[in-house]
Amino acid sequence: MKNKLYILLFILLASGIISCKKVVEGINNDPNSPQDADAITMLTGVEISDVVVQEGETARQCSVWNGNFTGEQFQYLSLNQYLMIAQDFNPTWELIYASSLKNARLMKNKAYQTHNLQLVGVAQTIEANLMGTATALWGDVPFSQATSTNFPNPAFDPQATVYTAVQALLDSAIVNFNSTAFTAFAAQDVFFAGNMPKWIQTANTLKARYYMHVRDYNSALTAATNGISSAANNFLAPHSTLSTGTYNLYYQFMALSRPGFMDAKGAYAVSLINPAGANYRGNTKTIEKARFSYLYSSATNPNYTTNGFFYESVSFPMASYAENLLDLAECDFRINGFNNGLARLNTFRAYMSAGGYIGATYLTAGNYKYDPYVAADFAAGGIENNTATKLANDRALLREIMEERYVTFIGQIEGFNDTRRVRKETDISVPIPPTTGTSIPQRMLYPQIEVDLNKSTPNPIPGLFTPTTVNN
Amino acid sequence: MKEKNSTLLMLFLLFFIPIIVFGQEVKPVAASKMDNNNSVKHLVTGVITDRSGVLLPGVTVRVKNSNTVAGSNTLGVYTINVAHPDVDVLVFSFIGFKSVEEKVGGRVRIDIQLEDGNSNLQEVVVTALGFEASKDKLGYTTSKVKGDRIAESGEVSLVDGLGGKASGVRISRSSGSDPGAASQILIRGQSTITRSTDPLIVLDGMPVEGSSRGESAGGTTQQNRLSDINPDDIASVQILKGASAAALWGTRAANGVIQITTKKGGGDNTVISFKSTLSIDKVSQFYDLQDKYGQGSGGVYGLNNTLSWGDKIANRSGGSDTYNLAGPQFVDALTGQTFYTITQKNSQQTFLKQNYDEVLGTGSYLDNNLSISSGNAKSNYFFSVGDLNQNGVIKNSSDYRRTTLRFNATKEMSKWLSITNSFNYSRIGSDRVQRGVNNAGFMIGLLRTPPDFDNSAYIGNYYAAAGGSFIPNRQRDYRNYLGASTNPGFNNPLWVTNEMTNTDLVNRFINTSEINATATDWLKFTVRGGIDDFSDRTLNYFPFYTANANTGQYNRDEYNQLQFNIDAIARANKKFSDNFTGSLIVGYNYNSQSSSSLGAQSVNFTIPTGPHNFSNATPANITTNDAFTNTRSNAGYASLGLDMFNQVFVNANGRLEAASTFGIDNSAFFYPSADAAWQFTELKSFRDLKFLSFGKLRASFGIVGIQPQPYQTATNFVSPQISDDLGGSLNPGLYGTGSYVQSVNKGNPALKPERKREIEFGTDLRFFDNRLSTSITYYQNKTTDALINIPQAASTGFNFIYANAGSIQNKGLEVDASYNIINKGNWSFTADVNWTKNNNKVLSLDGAASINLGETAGISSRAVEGYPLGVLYSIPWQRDANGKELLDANGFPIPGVTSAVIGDPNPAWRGGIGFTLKYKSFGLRTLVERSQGGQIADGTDAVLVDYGTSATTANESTSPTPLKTYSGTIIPANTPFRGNIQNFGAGNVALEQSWYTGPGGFFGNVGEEFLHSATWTRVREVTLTYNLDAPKLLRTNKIKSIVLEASGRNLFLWSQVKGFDPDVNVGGSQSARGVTYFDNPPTRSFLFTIKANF
Repeated sequence: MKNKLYILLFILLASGIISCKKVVEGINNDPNSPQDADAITMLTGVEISDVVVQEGETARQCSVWNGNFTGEQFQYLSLNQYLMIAQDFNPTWELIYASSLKNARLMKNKAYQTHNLQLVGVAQTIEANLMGTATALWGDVPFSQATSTNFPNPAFDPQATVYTAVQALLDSAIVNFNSTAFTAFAAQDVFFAGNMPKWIQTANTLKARYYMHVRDYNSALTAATNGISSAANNFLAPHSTLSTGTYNLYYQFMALSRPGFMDAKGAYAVSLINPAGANYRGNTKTIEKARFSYLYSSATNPNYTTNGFFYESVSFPMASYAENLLDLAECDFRINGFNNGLARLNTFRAYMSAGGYIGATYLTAGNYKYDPYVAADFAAGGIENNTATKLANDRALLREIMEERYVTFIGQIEGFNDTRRVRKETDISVPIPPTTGTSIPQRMLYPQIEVDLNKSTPNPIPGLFTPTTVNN
Repeated sequence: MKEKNSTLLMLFLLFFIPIIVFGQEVKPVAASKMDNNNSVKHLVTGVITDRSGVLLPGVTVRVKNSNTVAGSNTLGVYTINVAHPDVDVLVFSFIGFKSVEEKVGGRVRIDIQLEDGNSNLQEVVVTALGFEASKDKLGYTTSKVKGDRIAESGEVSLVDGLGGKASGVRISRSSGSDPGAASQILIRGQSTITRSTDPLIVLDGMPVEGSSRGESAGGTTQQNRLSDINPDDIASVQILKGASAAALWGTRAANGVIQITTKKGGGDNTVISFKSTLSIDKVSQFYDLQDKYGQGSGGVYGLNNTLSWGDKIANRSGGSDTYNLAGPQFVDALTGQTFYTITQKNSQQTFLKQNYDEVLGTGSYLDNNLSISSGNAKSNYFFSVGDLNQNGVIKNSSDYRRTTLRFNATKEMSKWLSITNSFNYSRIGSDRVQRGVNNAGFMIGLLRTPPDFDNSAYIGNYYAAAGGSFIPNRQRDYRNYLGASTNPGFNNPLWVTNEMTNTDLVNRFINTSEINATATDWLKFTVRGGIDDFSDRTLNYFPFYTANANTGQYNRDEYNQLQFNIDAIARANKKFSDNFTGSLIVGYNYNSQSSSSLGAQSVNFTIPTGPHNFSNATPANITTNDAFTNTRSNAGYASLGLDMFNQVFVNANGRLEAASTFGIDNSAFFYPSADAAWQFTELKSFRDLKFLSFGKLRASFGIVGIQPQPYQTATNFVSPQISDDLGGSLNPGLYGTGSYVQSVNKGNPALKPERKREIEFGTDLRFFDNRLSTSITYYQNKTTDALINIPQAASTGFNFIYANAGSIQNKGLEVDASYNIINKGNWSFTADVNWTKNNNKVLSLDGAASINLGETAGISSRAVEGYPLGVLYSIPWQRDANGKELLDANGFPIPGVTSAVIGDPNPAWRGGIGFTLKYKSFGLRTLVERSQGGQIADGTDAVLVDYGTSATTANESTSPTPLKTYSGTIIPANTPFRGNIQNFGAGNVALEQSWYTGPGGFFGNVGEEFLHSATWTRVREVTLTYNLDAPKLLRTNKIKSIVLEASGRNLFLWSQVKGFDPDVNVGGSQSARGVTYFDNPPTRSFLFTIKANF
């Protein structure tokens, strides 16, 4: 009997051990999430990621530093006082790389695999937009080795290299947009519903933007000539009243998640366009009241009330006809001189005269006027060269173009990029007063996560007031 | 499923075949009625219980002056042959109890109640597999807490009831006044970095859910599921602290095991017990707020201003404020009072006390318990019903109600077979407030309210213009004086308590069944299976115009969890000679846990005051979550034990386990353990030492593990909400046709369990005839392959990868002592001491600089290499090479830009001391606990100085010399100003608004500024008991006893912080500790209890 018992015990123990692995196999496959998705399914997610990069926290930070808004409380008081720490930049960096760039590249590869070349073009354009923004704000950034499993410590490519690569991406994108090889993705393309001419124009405007960052005005002029040709073709971040998850991000920030953090008290931009402002730029040919009311609900607050520029359902410009017109103005001026520049500026003013990008609600007759300028307006003593120190007329024109760009880019990253680009041309740059010290910040800090975890991160990291290479 | 069924079937067959086969030839073990000689014997039988009716197995029953000895069985039943029924005396003796002599006097039935004797004597403990063993023979240490000590603590939760009662076990609260809030249980320090630190809870042999779910620094507090168990149902709690003690639970044992044994019935007499407790709870600590300065900024009154840096209230003209009667208005919905825009603030009235009293007051609970226990020689049962109904100190919205039902029964079917079943049902309903890092939170609204703002009118109609149309139900608070904005900024605390609801309803069934079969006198089989099944419904309702949810928000989450566990165990015990006994245990364990969660959130209500359901929102405003988890493990185990020369006891255990959460390449893992004990006082040379009654040396070694999270072996694609840092987020699902992109978290096919190795040495000594007993243990453990969500440089394309990386170590010392100082006549006085020191160190994180464990964004609790786990991490002041603070041009310290370790929340040691004094029918018991060392960051006051409501900011100083402020302005000499004077090293400077709203406040990032010593001493419990002689007093035999108790919980607290309890934690019961941020206030309680036995 005992022997039988031992045998049974042995069988028991053995069966337990043998069944050990088998019993638990095959149930660790996540029933809640897929492990793959095709390129077209990824598109909307990739596009919306780019929206958050271009319109979200980074745009607000740039705009506060650029004198468009004022940080009032808590983290935004620190922002206003330039009291930034490396850790503050973790979320935006993670958004750019891990959420956006990685998926844009993954989508690009998947689109290549199915030979959906038009979708490859979209991926490339978004990749270029992400990296153009990143290198403009951080200088040297990981690019060639970024988001690859082969490189645990992605190298920081020199800023000039990144700009070159961005142009190459956009060139390739334009080629791909012209291809006829595609599977339709109109329903997933929340920017242009698969409209290739619009994508081509956007790619060209972005090319102009990034050429200007490196002061290659010649190439920028060429690109802008093929850029966004009408407001209807604007590269817009779409917003709607559908639900909070579609609302304008400025609106979400100011009205919903962080009321009181940011306003426009004492903001330099307000003083420029508020008819009651100290530096009001209106003159006999210019009335800014409508644009001011569209952008600011009062002298102290950005306009996130109904149909204002930052209202919940108002779409946000990521690249626009207005930008493209002003790129043409500045580049044509710098390459071909005063007359070309003036003509281009007047094209922009004609656009604004017809209402421009100002919301219809705010287009009250008499509240906006953008009559064409003539050369005499920029001569010493002219309405646009009337300050204590008189400028040469061509510098006065450039100053007006830069000021126009400054106003047009209120709330957008490009305003901050402009300010830093022309910081040495002190005669024509917009004189934004720093809230403290002698300079506004010249870059974003490398985030703490890269400092901690990427051995390629420059050590020590450049400070907030160290210009990036192209602006040095 | 098929596979599971077949495995189970096989197991049952394997066990029952031998049972049936051997059952046929079992020889009777107990004495038979007739002996071999012809003389008639007198058989006496009876049931032995302790005073509370708990059955006592293993009691020795001896006929005085003879060799006849018997013992009580598992049901406490004994049977003994008596030769001379008229004159013989039975002696009942049992370790830990006073011996009783009882004359037989011809009776055949004698039931005995044993009284607690010297509790320091040899104890019976419950081992990992749920079997009883003699504590004196163990090679490891465990702590045992008796059920009545937990029930008497006055704590609603079983977890808190354990506080201060055992060495090596740290109970830390997360919230003071939220009824049912989870507390952290930490056994021998944290031995995992990111996995749960909760110990495994084993209830009557069945692992049950004991942890909390969904804790964060915001939201509401969450409950420990361990609190679902009624403390009055518990007979004892055994805490298996070390790896060796717990090793037979494998990957679930790394945080220790808490074995809970519930009460069993007993005795022929049916005992009905009733207990009723009333508790009165009061807020014990509250922040010191100022009432000298009004709302505003820069010394100027400002309507709707966020801050209280306004004008001096005493300097106002007095009388009523001046209003603009023609402008917008607010009409209070409750009183009809109309509010207008204040154009001139004249009133000197302040509302600190009124604002407090409106939302905080006296809480209470009523706890009723009824139990019935009974049985006979072959069976016993215990039935109980309990109901605890609590209204917390936060008015209208801190309720907790726990209703429990228990039925335990054991039946001896035959000499060789017995069946036990224990059934538990719990229903827990609660309502809580939003708290912590959360603009919708209760304390944020209350503590940030300026002293000159009256919160009482919180809901009403807003008129944009006098005489115009109005919008109903707008929220009015200090940042929204007329309710003009849909966003109140923060919530009026009355809005939090009266308009918002956060309810929770748990229905839980736990059932355990056990079959014990005795095959031969040396071989036993046990099959024990159980289920733990609960549902948890959580509802949150934020009405229109609530902060964080201006157009309403409604959440509903339906969570279900099921655990199924079965053990099949064979035990053999063989005495080979007088000096050599061996035992072998072989078993198999199967465990399956599954959960499902279905919930949704709606925002932007269609009708602001519409029904609380998802119909009241458009589809685009509803997001759902739908998730399943399923994990499974199985294991075979064996344990070999040897008793040698009655003084050396050795055990060796092994468990081979496989779990579904392991990576593809990792099959089963083996967990060995061993322990040895030597009772050296059995040696001749020690027997003569009069003062030393008992001495044992012990040593043990063990390896246990922790499983990975499920579903981490692959990288997922997700449908993300793309978040905008401090702002909102965009949802790609609301655009296009929906979208999936690759997650920022990288999967890992190579996952394996964490492994914790522990060695332990100790000694148990008893002196002076066992009156003083001590136990000292040193342990050292090291966890390797710790599972970490390793942060990745985002430029690699991922934010995290889940991997086995890093290691962590704990070294500690545990001391327990108990001294029965007086035991004379009617007097007895006992002192109990426990003391624990644990040093923790993160040895490696495999390159990850730091792992964020939680708390707030500004001050986090992290794992950092070379530091104890959970160190506080924030921005320090800039310092030179010598560690001296750098100062700016105005003489103020300069905030750094990169975060660093600033403090350590871990205490140096914790200790408890308890006294029990008894005199006749009176008893007095106290428990004092001290936590020495560690730090806590007071994020609350750090914010309140920024807001100017902290009393610190209302000091009025006069500048002795011209003083610079942080912003660089100069306060001329002899000028009074609001603020403080400090010298940072470059002469006196003025701390005023620009300092406190800058680096001197929470939002200046410098967490270092707000650290405090977390040392505390508290009188946890004081209980006065009076045992009424009911039969005599009430002249009835129906009531057997009445006990009256008056007690206090958390009566006194000494600490170096003001306004809060340093044992609080904004992150809840998880491993991150050391920060408080607008947590709900702590309480003290006064309890009155009556217990009656019928």
